[in-house]
Amino acid sequence: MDRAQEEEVLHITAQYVAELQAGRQPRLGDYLARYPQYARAISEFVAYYHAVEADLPGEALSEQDQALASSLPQLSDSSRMALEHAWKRISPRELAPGNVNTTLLAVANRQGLSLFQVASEAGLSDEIVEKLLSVQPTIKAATIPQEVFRRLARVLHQPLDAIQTYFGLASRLQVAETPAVYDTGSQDVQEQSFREAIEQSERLADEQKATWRDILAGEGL
Amino acid sequence: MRLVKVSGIVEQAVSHSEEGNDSNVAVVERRSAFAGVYNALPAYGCDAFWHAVEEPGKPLEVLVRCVRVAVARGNDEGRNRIIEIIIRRTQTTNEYWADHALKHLGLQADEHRSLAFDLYADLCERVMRALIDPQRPFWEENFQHCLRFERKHTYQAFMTREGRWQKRSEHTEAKRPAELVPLTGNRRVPRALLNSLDRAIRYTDGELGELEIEDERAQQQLLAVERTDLLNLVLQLPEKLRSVILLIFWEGRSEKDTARVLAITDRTVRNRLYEASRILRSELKSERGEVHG
Repeated sequence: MDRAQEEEVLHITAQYVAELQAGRQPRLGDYLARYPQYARAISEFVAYYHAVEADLPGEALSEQDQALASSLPQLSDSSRMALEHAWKRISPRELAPGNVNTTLLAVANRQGLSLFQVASEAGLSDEIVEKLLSVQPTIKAATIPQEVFRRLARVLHQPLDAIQTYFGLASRLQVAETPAVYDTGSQDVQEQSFREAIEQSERLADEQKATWRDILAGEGL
Repeated sequence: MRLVKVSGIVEQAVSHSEEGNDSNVAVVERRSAFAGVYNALPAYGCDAFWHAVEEPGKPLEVLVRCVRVAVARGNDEGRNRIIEIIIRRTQTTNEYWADHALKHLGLQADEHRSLAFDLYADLCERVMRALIDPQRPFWEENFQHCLRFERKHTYQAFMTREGRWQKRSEHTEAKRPAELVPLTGNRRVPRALLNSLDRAIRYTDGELGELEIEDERAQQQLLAVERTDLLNLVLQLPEKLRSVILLIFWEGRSEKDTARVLAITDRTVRNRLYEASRILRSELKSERGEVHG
């Protein structure tokens, strides 16, 4: 089972558990009939869930207790040892940022530049810079003026073509990337143009907005 | 819309019930709520940010998102700090789980403690890998269920690695008769279930053995088997046998209904029941051999 299929099984079994927790007594057979391609995975989960998980202390209650608590619990000895053990077994390669979309943020960070500093140097606001450099860029690459690339290249001390390549690749990834889970289902942030980001920004000064409008017009965007 | 796939599954999952639309709305509302909490966080890395992520009631889904932002920024210190917060928030339940999951093995106290720690350490490692992996988006949507699923994977891998379960690949099943792959290492197959199966087996003319599950007494005995034992047993059976056993002995469906649900023939259902029974009986033989030998 590949990653995408496992994500689908997660959604399906989450629905099963949600029904159970809502007191609706879901029927395994109904799920198997509806998702025959995942029958084995669903059966396995359901058997495990009822054998082991169903008797665990209530998660909702546990979350409620935490919400009421004024501070986090201390790390237990077992957790400390388990964490140390795990860090030793996870290779640095696994811990590296997973794709090129993350690289510019990492570059800025390694140079000791905060988002505010990058934004200030580039004549943008921090939230727009974050939209540009985030793990899943939320501004369409084709709508970004070259001036943005030039400024980012200068601020981040990177070659201009490296920045352009980065955004070119980022725009291609937008087609196939995993959906962002915080999307609420509408054509929103992912489809935002650079102009819309500028106009909607609450942190960009009016003068800066006017400058960017001129740049966009000058580049025919 | 970028969530076609995700919401499609949910829509499909609930399309036969009146609650379908409500569930879908709930999913969207849940995502919106997390998005709101995440977007309201102070700028990453400032004191206020750390204060916010350490609030005990902050949704774990939002913390996962923060871990991934830290990874994206190459901020190792921040990444480790948020992961530790998540571990602290979940350690009570996870430690309890590790202890509870091994209870049915009937181990000595020292061995139990040692294995429970190993199991918990395995879980921490798997969870950490998942947290830093941006290709696993459901962690940012339903943390508890992803954790539950990770515990399942950890449990199965652990039991197999420790020799408590016999791993059976499809290849192995095809090559070897069921009686040659006993559930070695496990001595918790409920005797009542095995005895029931013994009585329920009946051979027909020249055919493979057929399990006479319509026998009311055998059914009652099977249904009387402790639920947890039956489910643990199911987990140890080859994959293709699990659904049949669950549908018949756990959900109480008939052979015919089970065949309809799984889109297989009645005969295949009977054959799978027979195969499962042979595996269980071979385990019983092994157990009896140890007792008497």
